[in-house]
This record gives sequence, structure tokens and C-alpha cells, in this order.
Amino acid sequence: MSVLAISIGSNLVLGIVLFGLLYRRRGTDQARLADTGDALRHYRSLDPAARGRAILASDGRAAFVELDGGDLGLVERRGRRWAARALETNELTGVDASGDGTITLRFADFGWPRARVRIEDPVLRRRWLDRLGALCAGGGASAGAEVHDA
Amino acid sequence: MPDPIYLKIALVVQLLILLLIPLEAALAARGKIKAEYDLRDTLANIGVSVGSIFFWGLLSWLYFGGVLYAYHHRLYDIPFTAWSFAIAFVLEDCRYYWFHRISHRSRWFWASHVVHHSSQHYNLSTNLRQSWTSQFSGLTLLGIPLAFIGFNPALVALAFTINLIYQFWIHTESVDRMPRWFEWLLNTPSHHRVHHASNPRYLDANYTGVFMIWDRIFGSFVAERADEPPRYGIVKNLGTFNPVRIALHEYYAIARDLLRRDLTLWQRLGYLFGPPGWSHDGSRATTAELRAAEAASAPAYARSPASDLADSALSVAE
Repeated sequence: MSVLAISIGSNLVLGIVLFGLLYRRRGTDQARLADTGDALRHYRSLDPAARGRAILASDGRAAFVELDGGDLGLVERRGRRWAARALETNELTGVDASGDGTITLRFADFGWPRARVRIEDPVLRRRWLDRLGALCAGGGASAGAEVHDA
Repeated sequence: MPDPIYLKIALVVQLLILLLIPLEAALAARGKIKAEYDLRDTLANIGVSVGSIFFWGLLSWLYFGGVLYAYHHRLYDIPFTAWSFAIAFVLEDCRYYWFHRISHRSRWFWASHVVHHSSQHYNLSTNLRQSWTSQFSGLTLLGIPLAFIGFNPALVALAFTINLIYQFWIHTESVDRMPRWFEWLLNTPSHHRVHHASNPRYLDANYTGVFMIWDRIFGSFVAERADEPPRYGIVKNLGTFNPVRIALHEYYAIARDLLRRDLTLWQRLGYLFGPPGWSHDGSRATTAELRAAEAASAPAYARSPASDLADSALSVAE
């Protein structure tokens, strides 16, 4: 048992040191999507055949993807990497928008519970809220209760 | 009760690992070696590591109980010698190969093992991102046959520990290639980078722990290509650094699939034990299908079909 205790303890010590470093470096990550082509390139890590167009978030930390077939996707900053996912009817459970223009998407996915995309243009934001709301409704979620634009 | 020797060895090595991680990160930050760290990713690795050690301590009796029971009913009395250790080490590596291959090819076992592959980074700290449920998944029972043959359980545990320790140094981008004979015979950073990559060409390859001979014999060896750098992570990457979500996300996904209405028993079994990405309506893609799609679009990238033949024999749902 002492071996396990030392093992867990040594992990915790390193974890605390790293947490301190993370706290000191908060807000220093400046990585952004360069352009829509950059967003599509990241999306193709999920779907190599993807063709379509991307809509960058105002802060460059995420992008919506509209595929040629009509399907939707998302690219979002995840630490120093980018992660992509399809936006599907049975996965998207809720959408809302806050006052600063951030759209928050909630997923029925334990490994990716939510995503945030900041769209400052109110017309564009409304359009995306409507499209995402339709996806929620298609999945049987109570879209009226789940989709909000503050 | 004193801790057994293999646990003490594992502890010493783990402490060494925890010292080498900051060293690799520091050397990479100064441009001395190739490695990329992300504080949140490394912190998540440590969080997962703590859970992994905890659950190993809690549930390892399942494994040791099985091994001791099998040894009690052993076929032969194999003495604890250097030769018996060498033989056990090779056999243990073969066991590890199949344990690892099944862990990638059947979703129930993948749900446990996916944790180790879920980081989009590849560095020494990736070692720490280990399963919380390896005892619970049942696949560790593959260790029982060695004890049943007559190898002392302590010897088997030592062989297993050394196998895992060997795999520590290969989780790095700082080593490009080892000498040709070494790359042929043993697992190396290059071979294991391929294993951790999500590029379709590299999926389901290089399962070996120590001796590459198993991948070469069973048709799953894929060499790293200079024109295709590995893209680390899984086909559908995670959107979280929360260790609990990292450790358990695939079980949640399995539960969602099993609770669907209008599925037959066979379809439910397909979601539970079929290959990752299997779906009853073909709406998802398995790794074999992803590889086939890429091979169709870029034949120069096509892999040997030998690996797929072995996997189709393993699959219960395809």
C-alpha cells in the first residue's frame, strides 16, 4: 500500500506544480485560426473528404463548417490543438447565446460536453442559432426551451 | 504486508518518469529536442494517472486472484530461473500483443484503452494517461494462461512490469529513428508514433510491447513515413481535459447506443463488442472502413490486407 500511496502522492506533487504554472500562464495562449481554409483543414482531420465553407468565430478560436451536402460541423481550440466534430441531430442537446455574442452548444457526449463559438455579428449569430435550434428540434430536444439568444 | 518487488520496481521507474517529463518539456522549450507539451494536457494526464493507480490498487485482486487460482491448478512446475524468465518475457510480450490488439478492435475493451490514445499530444507524459478500468474490462485475464502453464505468478508479474517499463521511452518525438537492426527487432519511438496516430493509414497498427516480431508475423506492422507525419489522438477527438470524462467517455457512448430503441439483440452486441465505429445502419465508419476509403482515394497509401484478415476473425459483429 505504501508503494501506491507514494505513487499517487508523487503524481499529485507534479500536478500541483503544473497547476501553478498553468495559473501563471493564463491568458497567454494567442493561437487563432488563420482563415477559413485553416478551419477546413482542421475539419478534414475528422472527415478527409469534407468540402464546404467555414465561418470563423470573432475571436478565431472556433469555426462553424457548412459542408456541401448541407451537414454542419465545428472546429474548436482545445489547448494547443484543434478538435473537430460533426454537428448531428442526435448529439446536439441545447444551444444558447450570451450577451457578448458567444453561442454555447451542449452535446450528449461525455467526452465533449459543450463548445463555445463567439459570433459578434447579430445577423449571422441569429442565423446560426436558428440552424442549430433546428438540429436540436430534429433530435427530439425541446428546441423552444433549449435555444436562447440573450 | 510488504509490497512485492515488481511493485517497488514500478514505483522507482514511475518516479524516474515523473522527473524525466519536466526535463523533456524544458529541453523542448529551449529547442534542444523535438517535443510539444500543453500544460492542460499534461495536467489531464496526471489526473488520469492518479485515478488509474487508485483503481489498480482497488481492483488488482481480480487479476491476481485469477492468476493465483490458475497457478494453484498449474500443468507444470516451472522453476524460477533466468531461462524461465526469458521464456516468460517473450510469451508475455505475445500476450500483450493480443491484449493490445483486442483492446483496439472490440469496443468494450476499446472503452478502457481509448484513454491512453485520447491525447492529441505525444510525449513522455502520455505514459501517465492510462485506463481506470483495465481490471474491470476482463481482458487482463489473458494473463492467466501463463500461470496455468506453470510460470510463477511473481515471475509473470515481473515480466509484465518490465514490458510496461520498456514502453516508457518510446512515447517521445525526440528520438527519430534507431539503428536499422533495432527498428526491425524492437518497438521504437517511430513505430509507436504510428500506433498513436489517427491518420487513416496508421490506424490499428504496431500493437507490440517490446518485440516487433509479433506485428510482422500477424500483419499489423506499418512503418512511419517521412511524407506523412503522425496526427496524434483518436478519430473523434475529445473536447475536454477533465480526467473523469477522459477516463469514462466511451462507456457513456456505449450506454447511449445500448439504450436505443428498436435494436435487435445482435445489434446491441455489435455496439458492445463490435469494432469501434460499428453501427447497425452504417452511419459511422470503422477504422477498417476509414483505411479502405483512403486506400481507394490514394492507392499508394494502401496497406497490406493481412491485418484486416486477422481483425475480421476477431470481430464478432462484422
